Amino acid sequence: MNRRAFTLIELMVAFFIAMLVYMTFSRVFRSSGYQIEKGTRMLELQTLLDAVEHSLREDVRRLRKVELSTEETPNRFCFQMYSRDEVVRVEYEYSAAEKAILRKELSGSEPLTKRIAAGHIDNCVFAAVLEDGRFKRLDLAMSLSVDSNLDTADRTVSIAAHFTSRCNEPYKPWLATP
Amino acid sequence: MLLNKRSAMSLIELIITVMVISLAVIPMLLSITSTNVQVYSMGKHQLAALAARSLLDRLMLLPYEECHQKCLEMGADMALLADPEFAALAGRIDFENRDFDEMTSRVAVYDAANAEEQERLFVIEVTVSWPVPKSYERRHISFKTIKYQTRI
Repeated sequence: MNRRAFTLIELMVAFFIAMLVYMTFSRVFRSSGYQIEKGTRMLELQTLLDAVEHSLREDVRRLRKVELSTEETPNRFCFQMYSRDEVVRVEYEYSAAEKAILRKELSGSEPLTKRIAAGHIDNCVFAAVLEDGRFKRLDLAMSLSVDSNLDTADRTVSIAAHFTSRCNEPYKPWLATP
Repeated sequence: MLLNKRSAMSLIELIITVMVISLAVIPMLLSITSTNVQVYSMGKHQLAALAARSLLDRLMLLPYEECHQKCLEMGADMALLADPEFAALAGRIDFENRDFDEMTSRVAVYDAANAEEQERLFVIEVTVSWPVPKSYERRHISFKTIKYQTRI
């Protein structure tokens, strides 16, 4: 039963191996955390982008007539659109102060205002393309950002998109004449 | 006495231990690299879909013959940022081109099966693709629609 104690060399080798294992696993877990953070930010950006795109696409596809040219006011876009059996006025405005797009429905006595992606839109420009005075399409350039502890590229996203309407075409039997 | 003799760990044993630990860790590191690629691709997917849909909408606005001609002209892979209309629009803000870097678009035209229908309609398919990092692979998303000569 002669039991010898560990030598200093043995202890140092064991400690070194333990450190190697710890550093490897630490790197694995840190990297996993980084990916989770990146993925979460990306998902957040996509949700915001989806909210803007969905709202604009739904409204512009029912567009009847542009009320305000975007040439002089690229941060505002005002138009009439079909909503059920009536024509309503809708205005989209980019508010730099609120870093949001404000959607105002102006038909009733009280305008209904909805804030889209509030606090996340860094810049937004609308450009209504008209041809012979008729609406052709709406162009949108926008940049979005989210807060993150990480300094990664995934905190911001820029888009350029077109939105079209066919409601102003002559053939529209499914719509009541306004 | 011989049974109580304890020898130190040999170099071979040490190397085998390190190899076993490495074999356990390498798949984990590979899995993380793979997750990184997936997350990157997921982010590009929505942007590519938006770009493809916008391009398709633009083509659909054109008159029938002009649309057909334009689709044929856009049959080869073209960098999205090289599209003059996209570039002009992006130029209006402090646009971050990085997201669309190396993203390309391609338009395919499919004619109808019979001669009668060929005069009345064709199918447009817009495909936007982007590279997968650290790989030669490219991912893509496509949208298809029918262009009618006269609205039905």
